Amino acid sequence: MAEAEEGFRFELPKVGIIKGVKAQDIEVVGEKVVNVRVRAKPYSNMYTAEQLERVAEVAEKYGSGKVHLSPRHNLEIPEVGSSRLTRALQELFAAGLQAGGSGTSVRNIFTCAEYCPNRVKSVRELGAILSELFGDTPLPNKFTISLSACPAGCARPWNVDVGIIGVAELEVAPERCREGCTACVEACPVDAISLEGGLRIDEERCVGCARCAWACEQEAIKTGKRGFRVVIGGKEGNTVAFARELLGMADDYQVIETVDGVIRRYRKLARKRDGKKYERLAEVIQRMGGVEAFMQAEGS
Amino acid sequence: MDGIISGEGKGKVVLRVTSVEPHTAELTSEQLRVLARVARKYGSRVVHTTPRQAIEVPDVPRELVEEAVRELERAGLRAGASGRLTRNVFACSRWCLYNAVPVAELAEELNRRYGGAEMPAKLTISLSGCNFSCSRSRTSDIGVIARTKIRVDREKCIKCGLCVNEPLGCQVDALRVSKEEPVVWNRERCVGCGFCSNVCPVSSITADERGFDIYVGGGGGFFPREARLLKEFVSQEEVLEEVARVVERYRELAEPGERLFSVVERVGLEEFE
Repeated sequence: MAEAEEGFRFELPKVGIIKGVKAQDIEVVGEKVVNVRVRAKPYSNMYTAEQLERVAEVAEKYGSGKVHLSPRHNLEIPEVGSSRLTRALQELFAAGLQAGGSGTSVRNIFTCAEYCPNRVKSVRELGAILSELFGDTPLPNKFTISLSACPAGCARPWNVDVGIIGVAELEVAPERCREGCTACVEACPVDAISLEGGLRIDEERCVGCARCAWACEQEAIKTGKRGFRVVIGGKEGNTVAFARELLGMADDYQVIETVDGVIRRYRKLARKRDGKKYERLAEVIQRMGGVEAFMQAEGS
Repeated sequence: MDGIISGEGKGKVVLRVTSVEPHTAELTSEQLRVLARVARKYGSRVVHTTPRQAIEVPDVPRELVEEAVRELERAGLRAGASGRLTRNVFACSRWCLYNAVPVAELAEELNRRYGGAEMPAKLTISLSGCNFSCSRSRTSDIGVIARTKIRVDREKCIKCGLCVNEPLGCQVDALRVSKEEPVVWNRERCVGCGFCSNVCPVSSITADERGFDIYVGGGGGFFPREARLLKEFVSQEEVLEEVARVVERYRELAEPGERLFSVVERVGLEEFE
């Protein structure tokens, strides 16, 4: 691994430095420019004011003063001249920002906002642990993990390799339901509740977002156990695949164990397409005939 | 008020902030400094980044919202993109080598026209500069994907390998080059992302034509579904016209609160058109 020759002891990152197109409004003459993709490290889905200011400073000093926002919490500083790259990375590093999250590896883990009132089960801590364990792990192709604290899925868990969704079980006491009140029906985003002939939740349709329970003032619907739903094998790129359920209700330990198992299997089972590139997880699962077959395969 | 969403703590709200000027798909260093200042002054010194190029400032006391918003607005930022409004139009990076057509400017135009516009329900518009759709154009209400039709002149190839070298090289194995043999292009596999034409130093591979595919009716979250192809390989002007038409039809046909995918599924794509 290349070590920096200037500044403090510093190992140059293997990912997060991306070849880029030189735009016209920058004066880095006769030099290659790169895009630097950074994120907070240790893991956070927030940036502090100081980190924003450091990114601003680095973008001005070494880039073109612009910053692109990625969909995975990364801030990208485009057009950094390669002769000053090490210094730029060191200044970012000093503020708790590291380059990463590109190439054929585990990309930056996305977790939705911790303060969102819709969250069923908090995901930031779990995201941090998954990042600690698996972040930047080299794999046959890119690998995305996203965590959503509720089934509204702002983190887009259905179109990533591993999606983790905070869900609740619901406890229904129809006898407590007050006639004429329709609060739960109005709160339900997926039309899973019927009141005709008594309060009933259609379990096929229910996604476990708990909004009915929060709307019910009679405690006719209450939240029971909370945990995580784990779905795998989604992607969006030149083709789309929606993730399939692996676990319906898991705790944090089971999630970590499962993600570890999926990554091991993927590493082992991914084949080259008929050219140079390896399959994404979605393709492996599809080739093997589904999530169950994938999880039962020998040799992981 | 648009862009003010509820958060944790009594009397405190979250500001969802997007950029209006000078760009919508990127922030200037000055805007980052303003966001830092606003987070420090009115919030709790931290911000969250969303998957749609918005930055959220949590923990702002309700009574300071107006002042905070004024400060943001002076820097070309606005609070917005929540409720039954068009979300921030997402565009991928204009600096990416995978670019059939950089879409940041098109996003700016669409944001000027529709950013924060009232709709029957929330409406997401996502633009991708190439077929790999980092912007998730195929799971948004309206998706636009830029494509090229490339032309290969084997005579000019210097066998440098830039178009196929790892890790960036052709992602779909549509090109083959070796020290012995100049570039071979597999037309069937090519998805028209434009990468090879962007890196080829000798114009052996060029992007002959560039156009946009338009998708409608995709969704994520509660309602994951793949968008349907509405128009193929149209010009940038036609994208603006088509998006205007889709928005108009959506407003005509939707029940209050109904998402675009639901309208398209209910009436059928042909009828929707």
